[in-house]
Amino acid sequence: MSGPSGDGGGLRLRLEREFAGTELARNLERTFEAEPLEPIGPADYGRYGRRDLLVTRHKGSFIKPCPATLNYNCCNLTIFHFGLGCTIGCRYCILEAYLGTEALVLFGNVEEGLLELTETLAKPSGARPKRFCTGEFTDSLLLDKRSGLAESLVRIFAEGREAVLELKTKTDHIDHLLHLEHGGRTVFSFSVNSPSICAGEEKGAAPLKARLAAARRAAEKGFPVGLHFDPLIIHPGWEDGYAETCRMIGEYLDGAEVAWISLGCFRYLPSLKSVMLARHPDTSIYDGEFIVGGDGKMRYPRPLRTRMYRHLAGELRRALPGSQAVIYMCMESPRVWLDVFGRDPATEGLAAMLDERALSLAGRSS
Amino acid sequence: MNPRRCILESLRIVIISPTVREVDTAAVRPWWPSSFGRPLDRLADSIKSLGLIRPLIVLADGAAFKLVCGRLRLAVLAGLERGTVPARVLPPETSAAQALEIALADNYERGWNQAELALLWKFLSENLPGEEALRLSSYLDLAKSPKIRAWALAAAGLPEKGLTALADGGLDLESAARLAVWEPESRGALLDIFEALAPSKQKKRQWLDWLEDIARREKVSPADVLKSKEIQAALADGGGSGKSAAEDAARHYLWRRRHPQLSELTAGRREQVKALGLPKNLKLEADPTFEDLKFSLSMTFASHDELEALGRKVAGLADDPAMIAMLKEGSQ
Repeated sequence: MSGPSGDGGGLRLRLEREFAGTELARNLERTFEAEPLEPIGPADYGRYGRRDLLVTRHKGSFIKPCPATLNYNCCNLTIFHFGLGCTIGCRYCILEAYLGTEALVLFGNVEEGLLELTETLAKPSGARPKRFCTGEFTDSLLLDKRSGLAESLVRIFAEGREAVLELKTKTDHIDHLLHLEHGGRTVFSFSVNSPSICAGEEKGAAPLKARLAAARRAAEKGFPVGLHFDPLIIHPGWEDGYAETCRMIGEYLDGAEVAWISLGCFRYLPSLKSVMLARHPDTSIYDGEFIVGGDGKMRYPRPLRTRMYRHLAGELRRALPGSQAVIYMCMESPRVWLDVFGRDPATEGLAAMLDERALSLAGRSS
Repeated sequence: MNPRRCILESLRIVIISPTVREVDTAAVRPWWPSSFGRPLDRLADSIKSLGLIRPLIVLADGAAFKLVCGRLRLAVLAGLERGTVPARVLPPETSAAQALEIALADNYERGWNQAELALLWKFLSENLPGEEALRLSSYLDLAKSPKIRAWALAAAGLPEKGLTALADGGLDLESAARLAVWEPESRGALLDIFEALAPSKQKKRQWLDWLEDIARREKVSPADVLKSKEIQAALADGGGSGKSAAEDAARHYLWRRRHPQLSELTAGRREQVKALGLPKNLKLEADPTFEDLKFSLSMTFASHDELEALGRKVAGLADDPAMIAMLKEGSQ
């Protein structure tokens, strides 16, 4: 993967003393020299900068529902919360501003989280979620070659039943996991975008072709692959750009290898625009037209979103003919669902569709 | 920090200061920006009729004096051509931070307008070490808000016209901070328009939002946008159809230029509604953001005949091709 900051190189590891000697600390210390850190809480993270990797204690549950949003359908994914922050530096990403820190945070007591996860997965099928991910507040695999966390997760899900792990990334850091037995219960998901957005707005991420090549390698080892077109951004030539990405997906992947593809138009909290423009004054992503959505976030007007989704859905069907992949929209209104797909599954229906797809993949041989 | 407790501490220094003495008016130099945009009339009348009730507070500075408290009083006294003024001279060992704290404490109950707040915070942050400035910022109620301190620092860079608008409440601190970093021609042009058309604070923010967005997208300056014939026509009309209508027209032009696709959608919908041929007492409204495809009808009537006619019109709407097109909007 390219980019000086994208793989965690050059970070200062600051380790709370109580986590010295843990497996996470030992893994990280193979790359970084640890400096001791007095115990801190989330309110202190803002004191640290983009070169800092903090290993601190997480208080509370490691398993969280997706922070869904009012008035829009959610896929009801469950998050395994192992850390915060990202150094890839996508210019549309509100994570930095939203979290109030540029530092990366890993939870030193993640072993407690793995235990909580194991206990959750042992519950009867009806009493627990079916789909989990780790990439909501950070990139799932950004530091994984150094932290080694995903290996534990893949093993836990491989041994479990009727639940799937989704590792979401803009990197191509997957090769250290490809030898693992996974039972079809780990999905490698890649965030993708039009070639010009990937090149211009996601400079610290792996190039689009590298992400798709990684998806190919994962598929060859029997891992289901997910794709996330999020955020879809209106930019000059967006129709051709997204069509090109869909065409490339068709070159790298067979429809049967793809678990699901999500589509989500760019949206942001109004207060973050000035913060993001101060950081990236030359970005043009805020030049689009926005309205205040039903959740208080700025969104493209519905007719424009509908046009984008229809275009993408059409191109994806052309690129992956006959695929059983679930193409769905992330955080979209019932009206847009009706206009794009002719039906509104509501949150429950969408979650059920994805659960069904996840379970159909589980049990595939490695 | 509790400002009241600090006020007591600051005033202790004043209390132990020597007694009041007369100092040369010309030797007293304004030091910190204590007052901006405050009228002198009432104070001048009071001093003329009752004399100076409270002496100035000053700090010796070589042969001259730094004015710590009493900028407005000094201005009035200078206007009255008084050769000397009564002043309490602080002990020479008083530090700049202590003198400023006395000044802030003395003015705390009076409060500060937004321009004074901006100028004061700039002065403190430029003249005191960071920790000390931050401590004294509690007198300005800024200690806990880095965002507002940053706005204040930026807003202090506004020219006098902008600071006057800030002092009068015509600009809020955030808008002032944004305007302060504009290049002078654009800033001046917009301040002139604000003065001429007097939009509300919320509308001023829209002007700022849309002008900044248009300028960034079109790679022009806000001044270039403000020179457009539509804005100039609205300004010229300001005296005719009234400020409010002119402001609406100019701002609507900015909205259309900022949102060409939404404008097109809105115009299309307006045409569709027009095609329905609704009478004036039957109004069809839809969500202007297009987020919800929900319509509402409102009718007014004053007789049975009017109500019957409206009922027939409403019943016919369901089969009207223009109405059907609107209901299907987005689903084709």
